[in-house]
Amino acid sequence: MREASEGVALICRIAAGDREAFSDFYDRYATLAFTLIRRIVGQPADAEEVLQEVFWQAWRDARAYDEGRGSPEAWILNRARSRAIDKLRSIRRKGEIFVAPLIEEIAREAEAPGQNPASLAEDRKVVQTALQLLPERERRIIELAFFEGLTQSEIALRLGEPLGTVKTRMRSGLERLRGHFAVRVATS
Amino acid sequence: MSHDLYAELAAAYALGALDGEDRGRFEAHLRDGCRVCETAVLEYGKSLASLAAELPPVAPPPSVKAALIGRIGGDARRARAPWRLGWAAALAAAALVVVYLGWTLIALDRELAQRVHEVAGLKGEVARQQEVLKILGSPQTQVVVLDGLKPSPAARGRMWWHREAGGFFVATGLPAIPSDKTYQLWAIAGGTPLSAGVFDVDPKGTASLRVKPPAGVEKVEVFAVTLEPAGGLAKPSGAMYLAGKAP
Repeated sequence: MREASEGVALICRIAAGDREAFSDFYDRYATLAFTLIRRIVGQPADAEEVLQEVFWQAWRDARAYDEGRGSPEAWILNRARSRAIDKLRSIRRKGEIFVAPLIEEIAREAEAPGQNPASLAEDRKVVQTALQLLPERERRIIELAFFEGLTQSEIALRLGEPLGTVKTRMRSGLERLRGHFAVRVATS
Repeated sequence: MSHDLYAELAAAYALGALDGEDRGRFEAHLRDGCRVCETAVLEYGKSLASLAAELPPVAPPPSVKAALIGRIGGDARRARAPWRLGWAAALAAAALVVVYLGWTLIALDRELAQRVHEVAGLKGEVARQQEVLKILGSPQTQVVVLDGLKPSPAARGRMWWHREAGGFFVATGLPAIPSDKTYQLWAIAGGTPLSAGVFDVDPKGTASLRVKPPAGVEKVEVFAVTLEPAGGLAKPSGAMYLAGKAP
C-alpha cells in the first residue's frame, strides 16, 4: 500500500512537470512494464519502442491519472499491455505473424519448441504459478487474450469453441484469479 | 439482456478482448453508470496486473530511459516553471504590460496635444490666407505702392487695403537691422500716424504683414515704414524707409 501511495505521489509530481519524479517513476515501473511488453511483442527492438511510447504517454497524461481507478502499477501495466497489443496487431497486419484460424493443437506444437526454448519454458513455469488454479480450458483462453491480444471472437475461432463458451470461461477464469490474488493480499 | 450477461462482458472487457457489437453494448452500459460492472473491470484489472508482476523480470536497456529523458527535456509543453513561478511570471508580465500601456498612453496624449496644436495653427493659417484672398479679390481693395526713401532707395512696398477688412502688406529690399530695432508700419489718417504693426525682415530683406483696420478710421491717406526701437512706439521717431500715398 505504501508503495502504491509513493507511486501516486510520483504521478502527481510528474503532472506538475517534475522530471526528477519521472525518472524515479521510470526506475520503479519500467522493468515491470517491459517484462509484460516483451512477453507480448517478443522482439526486443519492438518491445523497447513500445516501452518508450508507454512512458512518454505517461509523462503526457499524468494529469489524467485517477487514483480511484487503479493503482499506479495497474495504470502503467494497463497502458503497457494495451500498447504492446496494438504493436502486436500492427505486426500481424503486416503479415509477419500468421493468425488465421488455426487448429489449436497445431498452433501449440509450433509454439512449444520455440526459438528460445529456455526463456519460453521459464515464462510458462512462472505464469503457471499464477494460473495454476485455473483449469486448462480457462487458462488457455486468458493467455490468448492477455498475452497475445486476441479478441473473444478470434479466440473462439482459434479454439473452435462457441463464442458463448469463450465468454463464460473468460469470466470464470478471471474470477478464479481475482479470488487467488485477493487471498494472497489478505494473507501477506 | 440480463445483468449476468454484462458480467461476462466485463471479464472480456478487462482483458481487452471485447469486440463486435458486444464492445459497444458494454461501453454504453458503463456510460450508464453501472457501478457493479465498473468495479468488476477494476478488480479484474488488478488481478491481471498481479499476474503480469509474476513474470520473470526483464530489465529494459538503459538506452530507452536515455531516449525518454532526452524527449521530455525537449517537451516545450512541460518545459515551464511550476504553478507558483508561473503566477509570478504572469504577474510580472501583467505589470510590464500596464507600464507599457501607461507609457504609450502618455506618449499618445502628448502626440495628440501636439496634433491639436498643429491643427489650430493650420486653421489660423487657413483663416489668414482666406482673409488675404478676400482682400486681394475684392473690387473695393486699393493697392498702395510704397517707394524706398533715402536710407534704402531700392526698397519697395505694396499695401492691398480694404477699408473694412484691413490690409495685406509686403516689402522687399529693406536692409537688415540690429536686434534692438524694428520696422514699424504706420497708417496716417487725418494727419495722425496710427501704428499698423511692427515687423522684421528675412535675410533677403523681405517681409509680409497682415494689418487690422484701425478703429474709427474712414480713410487712410498715407502708409509709411520707419525704423523704431524693438517693440515699436506709439508715435514714429526714427528714419522713414518706405512711404506711399493712397489713391
